[in-house]
This record gives sequence, structure tokens and C-alpha cells, in this order.
Amino acid sequence: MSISMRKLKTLYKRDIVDYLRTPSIAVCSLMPLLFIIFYKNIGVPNAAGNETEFLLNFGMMLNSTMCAIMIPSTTISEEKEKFTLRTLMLSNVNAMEFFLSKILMTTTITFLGNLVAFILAGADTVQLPAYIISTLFGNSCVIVLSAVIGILSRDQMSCSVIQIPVMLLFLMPPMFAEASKVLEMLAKVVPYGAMLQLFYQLRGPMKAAKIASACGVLTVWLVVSVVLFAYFYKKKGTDN
Amino acid sequence: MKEMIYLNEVCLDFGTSFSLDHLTFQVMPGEIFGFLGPSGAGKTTTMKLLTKQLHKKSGSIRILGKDIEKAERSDYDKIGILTDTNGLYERMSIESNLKFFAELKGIKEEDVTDVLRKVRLYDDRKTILKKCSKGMRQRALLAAAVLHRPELLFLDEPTSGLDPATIQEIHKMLLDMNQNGTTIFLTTHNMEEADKLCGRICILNQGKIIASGSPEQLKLQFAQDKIEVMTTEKEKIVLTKGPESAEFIGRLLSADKCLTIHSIEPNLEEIFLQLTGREF
Repeated sequence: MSISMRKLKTLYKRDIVDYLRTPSIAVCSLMPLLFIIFYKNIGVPNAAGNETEFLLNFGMMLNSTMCAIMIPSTTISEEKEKFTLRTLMLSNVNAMEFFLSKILMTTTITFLGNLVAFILAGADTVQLPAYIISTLFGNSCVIVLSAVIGILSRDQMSCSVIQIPVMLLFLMPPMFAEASKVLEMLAKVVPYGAMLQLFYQLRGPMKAAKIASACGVLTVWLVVSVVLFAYFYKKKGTDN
Repeated sequence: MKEMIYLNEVCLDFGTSFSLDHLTFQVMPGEIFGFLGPSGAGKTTTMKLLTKQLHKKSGSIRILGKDIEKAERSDYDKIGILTDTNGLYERMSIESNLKFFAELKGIKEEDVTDVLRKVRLYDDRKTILKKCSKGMRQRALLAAAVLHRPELLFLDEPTSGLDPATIQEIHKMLLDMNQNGTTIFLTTHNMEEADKLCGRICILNQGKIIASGSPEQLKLQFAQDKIEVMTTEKEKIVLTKGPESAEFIGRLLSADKCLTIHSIEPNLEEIFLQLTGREF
């Protein structure tokens, strides 16, 4: 399946402009930043001098779960609901161009969101490269999985029914890891947990085994997401 | 001359009581070809097969002279499609929508202005789509489908639910496009529309083609053996063709009492009723 760069660029531009015009999606990507500002002002309870760490992790968590899941799936399901996806397909836009545009749009937004979160949290710029690598890698598998949710949804309503459990599945284990061994174990295998592990390792001191383990988890998620995407796309690609 | 559309023994089965059953027809370049039938006959299903939204079970389909499965992407750049499940972006204006599709298709901005004028939406081009009437949306969708001056245009009930004035505008536009070389494949359950626009039609019922030909050919084929005469006293007399009727008409003409003489030809809806025993 060939990709036309002209079409991809046109789709991407439109998606970015539409994102700015859609309050529900635009607000979702502001939420991590607003939370960071909020906690910065009221103080982080039990932070014990690790306020910056907490704020950075919190922003990363919300961006990689809430934003990365909501944005592509909601926009794809809206296009299905309003029949604009069909119009695009009938205008000789292929599926790869369409989904790549959504994925790139979300990657851009979550990348910028993470960057602003990093600045707002007041983290040391020495950590920035590690932060960018780990968030880009971590978010990529969640974004592709979110595209799968978009394919499976008939409309925005059914999309939110699928989004919420997935968000909770990815959010709860890392948030409550200290409360139980099971949640602690699950926290290591959800994308955010693996992303956090990778970030900690990349910023030093590095331990090869832990880096490999984190990369392995994220790679498995990415491969599973891509396979699911290809499978469901083939299944839902035509009306029969 | 290669056919623009060629179907041979095409079957499709949804597991319902009827399906597309050995459809065979072709559409030649420069034609406006009508695909008629009541709701549920299989018109939209056929359209979806031709535009690759559905896969056939058996038979062969060629579009622009190429097997549909082997058609390249560049072939689909020559095709415009308007179905009843097309949509445009509601948060964008008519003009922005068309500029977006123009950019996708590699069309210049000047062509967008041209098409907006043709569909009579130039004055409303800045209107956000969600504030547009149904007629305006349909014209905007048609504009998006014809921006790139396609060689082959698929239209699935393009005037369904529109007012007569809008329908007339769309008909004029389609006839102009056809005069400029666009082949049009049109599905409709509006017999008058088919009669007005189409050079050839197929009538579909329960997945099968039950009649095909030009509207005039079909009317003559199913014409009754009757003549209707209106006298100067506004009296309508129906006569069976024959020497006695000829003599009677001759007497009326001699006495200058004959106002009009017409052969009685059925319209397409009556033809359908004759063929199927049911109404549209």
C-alpha cells in the first residue's frame, strides 16, 4: 500500500486544525498541564522533597493514558459516525494515510504536552533526552492501540464505552501499585509502567537488564497493537 | 471502445431472501446510465460493489477497462463517487471542505471557485457546514465528487429528499458534465429523473435485472396497442390501432374536430408494475 506524502500532509494539517477546534479533545490534552499547575500551587502531599518527580510522573501518566487513548480513538470514531471516513476512502485516500495522519497528529500533541509538562514540573534539563525517548516510545504503542479502539467503534458513544476500561486498566495499576503486590506486578507490564521504568533507567544509572525489560514490554505492546490494528482493519475494511 | 463499467454474472449473497443474482451489464463512455429499482432492489449494493465497498461472491467486474481487483490507485483518481453515506466536515465551511478535498486530489484553488459557482454555492461558501440545509450539503458533496473532473462519476440517489428547484439545478449540472465527456452511473428510484437524464437504463428488482434499454425503447416495447384522441369538445377517446380507428380519426380530421392524437405509452413506473406486478 503506497503512501502519498501530499495526501498525508493535507490530512495531518486538517487533523491539527480540527483538534484545535474541538473543545472536548483540546481540553483533554490540557488536563495533565492543569493538574501539574494545580498541584504545584497547593503542594504535593507526602512528596518529601520529590515534588518535581511526582509532577513529572503525573503529567507523563495522564498524557500517555488519557490523551494518547482519547485523541485518536475519538477522532476516528467521529469520522466514522459522520461518514467523513467513507468520503475520504471514496476520494482515493488509503487506510494507511488516514491512520498515519491520526497517529502523527496524536504523537505531535502528546509530545508537545509532555514537553510543556516537563517545563512546568521544573525538571532538570539533563533528563530531557531520556524523557523524550521514553515518552515517544511509550506513547506510540498506546496511540496505535487507541486507533484499534477507533476502528472497533461504530460511533463516539460506543468509543467511550471501550475507552474507559482501557484507560482504567492502564491507569490503576501504576497509581495504586503500592497498595498490592498484584497491582505492583501489573504496573510493570502496562505501557505507562514500562515507560516510567525506561525513563528512570535512561536518566541513569543504567542497568541493561531493566532497560531491556522495559523496551521488551513496550515492544510487545507495540507489536500486539499493530497486529490487532491490521486484523480489525481487514475485518472492518469493507461492508462485507 | 472499452467499456467504462463491465459486469458479468456478478453474484452477491448476504444470506437474505434475495441477493445480487447474475448481474450482467455494461456502461459505455459518454453515457448517462440509470440503475433503477424500488428500495431494497440492490441498487446501492451494486454501487458499493463497483466502488469496492463490498466484495463480490462471483463473476467479473471491470472498471475503466481493468479488472476491479487489479485497478491501480491512479485509476481511482479518474473516478468521482457520491453515495448516500458520504459526509463532509461539519466544523468547516463549504469552501474549506472543498479546498481540503482539492488539496487531497492535487487540484488548484481556482478550480474550487469554478465548481462552487457551478453548484450555485459560491455566495454561501463561507457557511459552516452544520448550518447548511440538506440541499446545500448535497450540492457541496456533489462538488467534492466532481472537483477533479472525473471520467466516471458514480451517483447514488443524488437528488433524494431535495426540493424541485435544487433537483433541476443538479440535473443541469450533470447534463453539462456529461456533455463535457463524463460518464455517469446513476442509481435512483425516481423514474422521472431517469427518464429525463438517462440514455440507457436497467431496471432492477430483488437483485435481478428485469429490463434494460433506452427509456424510449422500453416505452415502445411495453406500449399498448392504443391511441388516444382528444376532440375539440375536449372529449378523450381511446381507440385500438386498426383500419376502423384510422377511418374514424380520418373522419374527425376532415370535420376539423380532432385536437390531439397520441399513442399511449407507459411511463417507466408503469413498465415496472407490468414486469413485477408491484408498485415502487
